[in-house]
Amino acid sequence: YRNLNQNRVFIGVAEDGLPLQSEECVASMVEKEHQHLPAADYLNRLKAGDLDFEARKDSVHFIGMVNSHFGFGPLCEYLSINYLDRFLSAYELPKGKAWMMQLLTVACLSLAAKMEETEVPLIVDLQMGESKFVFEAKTIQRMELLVLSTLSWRMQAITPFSFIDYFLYKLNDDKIPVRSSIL
Amino acid sequence: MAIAGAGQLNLHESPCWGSRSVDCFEKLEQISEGTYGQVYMAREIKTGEIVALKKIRMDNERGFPITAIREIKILKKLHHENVIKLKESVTSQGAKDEQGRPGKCCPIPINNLLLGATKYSPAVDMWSVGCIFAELLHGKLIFPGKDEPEQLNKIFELCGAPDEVNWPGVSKIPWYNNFKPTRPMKRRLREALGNQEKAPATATTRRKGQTTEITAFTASCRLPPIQSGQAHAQMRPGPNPPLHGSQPPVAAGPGHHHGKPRGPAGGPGRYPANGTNGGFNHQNHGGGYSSGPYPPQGRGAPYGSSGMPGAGPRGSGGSGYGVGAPNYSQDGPTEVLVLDVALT
Repeated sequence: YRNLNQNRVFIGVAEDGLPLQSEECVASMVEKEHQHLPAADYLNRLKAGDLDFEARKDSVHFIGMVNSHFGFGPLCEYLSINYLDRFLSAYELPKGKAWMMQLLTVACLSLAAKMEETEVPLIVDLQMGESKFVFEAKTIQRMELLVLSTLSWRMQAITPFSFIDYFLYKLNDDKIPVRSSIL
Repeated sequence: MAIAGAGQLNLHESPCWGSRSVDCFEKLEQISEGTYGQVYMAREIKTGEIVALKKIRMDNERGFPITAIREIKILKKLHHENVIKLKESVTSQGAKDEQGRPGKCCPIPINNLLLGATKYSPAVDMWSVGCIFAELLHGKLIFPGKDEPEQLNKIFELCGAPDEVNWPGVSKIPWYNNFKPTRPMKRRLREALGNQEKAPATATTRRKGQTTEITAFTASCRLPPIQSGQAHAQMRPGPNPPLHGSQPPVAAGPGHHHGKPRGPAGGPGRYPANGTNGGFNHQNHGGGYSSGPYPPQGRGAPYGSSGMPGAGPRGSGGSGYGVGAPNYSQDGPTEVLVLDVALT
């Protein structure tokens, strides 16, 4: 059992000594969650071909590969894809420029790793494997800033991970579950 | 206080977050300068509000600085009268580094960074925590040097001069030979900070041990992982105010030895890499939720992601530190980060 909760606020103390969220806080997180999601029409735009579905799939694959290579945690992987989707739904990337998508993917990975990971490699090193395009650190940095501003600096996204402890608590009759009962 | 309401999470932010330019502010004077960049006192032109402007220096090798990312992440979570509130971040259009007059030294000296090491690590943070604890206890800056050599000297005077005996590997740090002390200096931390009469007796005893131990170990960057884990546990809001809690004081093993390695040292002068036996893995019980196509990695819990206080550093029932009035009230200055980079 690994604590992945990013938004803990106190309600009691779990076995591991970490606090659980209050109802009020959970309600507030539900309310805020929409600020950290892509626009409502994003999925339809992907399906309709308005946004490049294949390119997104490649990006997600690349994120998974880099994540696995560096041993980043699942939250880092989730955040990378979250940033990617939110950016794509909010910013019109120029068509026919595949390198832009690759640059965006690396920037999202880099930001997520900086948010969540202890050991963060140099940004140029995130471009591994069969990347068709390799960017200079300075270029990635500029993309990072564009992502940060496009996402209004809301990088600490409310994610499904944010609710895991709360649901475990609820599933266990409002008692803090014993760690050994959780896979 | 056991339950922190949502109001204590700093969830509210201005709608214009990140979209404005630094030109919305007028710089009044430079307050401080550090490895991260400069801090200015500034006035928001439209409202006249006084804020602190922190200019983030961009690192061309590592992109947007991880320290700034973490700072924003943590400050956005915190909402407490004693913690500066992050108001917004603004950008400046490609301005060059401005040379301000030398400001006051950073109140959070970072020993190995001053010596030219470039690797930011948990040890650096632990050093800072130690310094902050010591300053809370002391009621003022503990290393008030006006420039880096003077500051280093103050550190050596209080913590003892580093050498290969108490800090294996120190002579390999780039600037050690430029700054190493000319005469031997003994550690006098306990004498200097151990006799605080201002605080209630019960707290003093605890604090004494805690401050001395933390600073002692981080000074030589040898705080072993398990102890640093406890340090973070101490910082979490808990039913017991952190300093009076039932948990043992940080790094307080029997004997309170100073400067001797405890536990598995991660090699001279640095932390073990966050591999399978990662540094801050006190919450790591294996497994994980990774159900995707990639096998779960046996890695430590992310440093700082879960251990940070989500609701202010301590409960209202705590006795507080009793020294030094809080610098910032709810209505006090807020901080604005300036990102010195053009967005195109």
